[in-house]
Amino acid sequence: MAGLRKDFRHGSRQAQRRRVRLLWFSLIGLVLASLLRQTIGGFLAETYGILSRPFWPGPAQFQWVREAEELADVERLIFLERENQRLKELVGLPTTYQDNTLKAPVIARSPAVWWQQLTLGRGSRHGIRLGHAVVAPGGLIGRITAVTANTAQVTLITDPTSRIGVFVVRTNHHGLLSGLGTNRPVLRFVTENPRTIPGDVVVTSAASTLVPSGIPVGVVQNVDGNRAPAPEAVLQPSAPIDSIEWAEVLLQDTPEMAP
Amino acid sequence: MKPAKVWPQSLLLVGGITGLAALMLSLLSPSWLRLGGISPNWLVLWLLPWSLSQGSHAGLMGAVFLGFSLETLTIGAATPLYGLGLLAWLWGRLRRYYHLNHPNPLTMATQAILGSLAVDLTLMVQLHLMADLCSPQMQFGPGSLCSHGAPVGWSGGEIAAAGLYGTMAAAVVTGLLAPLVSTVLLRLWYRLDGSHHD
Repeated sequence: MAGLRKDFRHGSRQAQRRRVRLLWFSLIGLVLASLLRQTIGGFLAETYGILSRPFWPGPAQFQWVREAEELADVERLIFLERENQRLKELVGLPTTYQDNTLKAPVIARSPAVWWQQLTLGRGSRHGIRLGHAVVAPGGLIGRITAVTANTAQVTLITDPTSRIGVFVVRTNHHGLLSGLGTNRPVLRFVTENPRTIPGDVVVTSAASTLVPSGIPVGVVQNVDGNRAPAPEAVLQPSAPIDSIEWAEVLLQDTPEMAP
Repeated sequence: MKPAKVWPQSLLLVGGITGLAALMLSLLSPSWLRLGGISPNWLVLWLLPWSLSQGSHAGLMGAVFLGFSLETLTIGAATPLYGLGLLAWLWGRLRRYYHLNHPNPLTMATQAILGSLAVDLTLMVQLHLMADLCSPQMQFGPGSLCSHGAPVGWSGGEIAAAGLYGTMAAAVVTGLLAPLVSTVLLRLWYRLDGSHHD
């Protein structure tokens, strides 16, 4: 009986020791696991990433995100335009074009190298008058220089007869945009040091009497600072003039058009 | 007295329709018929076979009709009429020779290239002169060579240099299409004319 009791005590002591050892192992395991958690987590995340790749969101979902972003940008643009308009009214500056526009199909293009023109399928019957500015997605493309009842001819900004007052947004320097018959018009600066660099955005000038102000025209492609009497810059029009199918006529009279 | 030549009605009809098509193609300038953004000179492609088959007088009439139509539909004071008239007269004089021997496609291409260059060069000279004359004075008005359609702020040399590459490109594109378009038209008019035996 005493032997049995001794065996029992010895057994329970062993079990207790085993329990303590297990506890220690568990504690050490937990500490090690917590120390290696990030490494193991990284490994598991990578493995999960590889295994779940076929179920990742595809281009369609990405397109939804892009569309949502574009929508947000449009909303922000509308808000900024309204704010800009309100501030211009407060300061007393001439306002840019807003609503009074007419969409017109392009029915004829430049028939040869020496003409830079478009013919639109809308005319005086639709409210178009000589001198109205014409824009396309991207920015200004030209002005109306001839109009019949149902057609209107647009002299493009790339035509040698075209001259439009513009200014560089970043530097606030004004210049005269002249066509040369090629796809890229030339910007002649008024000042000797316009500090313009390739990539600068050019818009129509508020001082211009031919077109409403603030219409994007293009981006400076390169600058020739050695030209006399003032530097010149070659401009890449922001509207794809060669591939325009529909244009928008701004039915807004400019000071030049006033009788 | 030599009797005036009477053109078959079918020839006049087809000639008129194809001439109108050439004018329409010049104005429409479809993108699928452009090479590197450059359109062929459709009026030259039409005028070449017309003048070669019908002679100088008919060629001149065609040139005046097409040149004047295009001039009225374009902005600016320069006109393609002079170049087209010159070409019609020159090609019309070759009628006798080509009436006996059909021009081969290479000849047609060469003639079309030279024709396109000639028309564009006459336009270039006009713009060159107008730019040089109008830039110093900048006074527009009736009776003056300067008009609102004259180049402004450029020297004639600058205008010419800018358009030179386009002129050459248009000539190449016209030359590429000539063996197809002009040769077919020439054969068609010989057949409608009835005076030529293949």
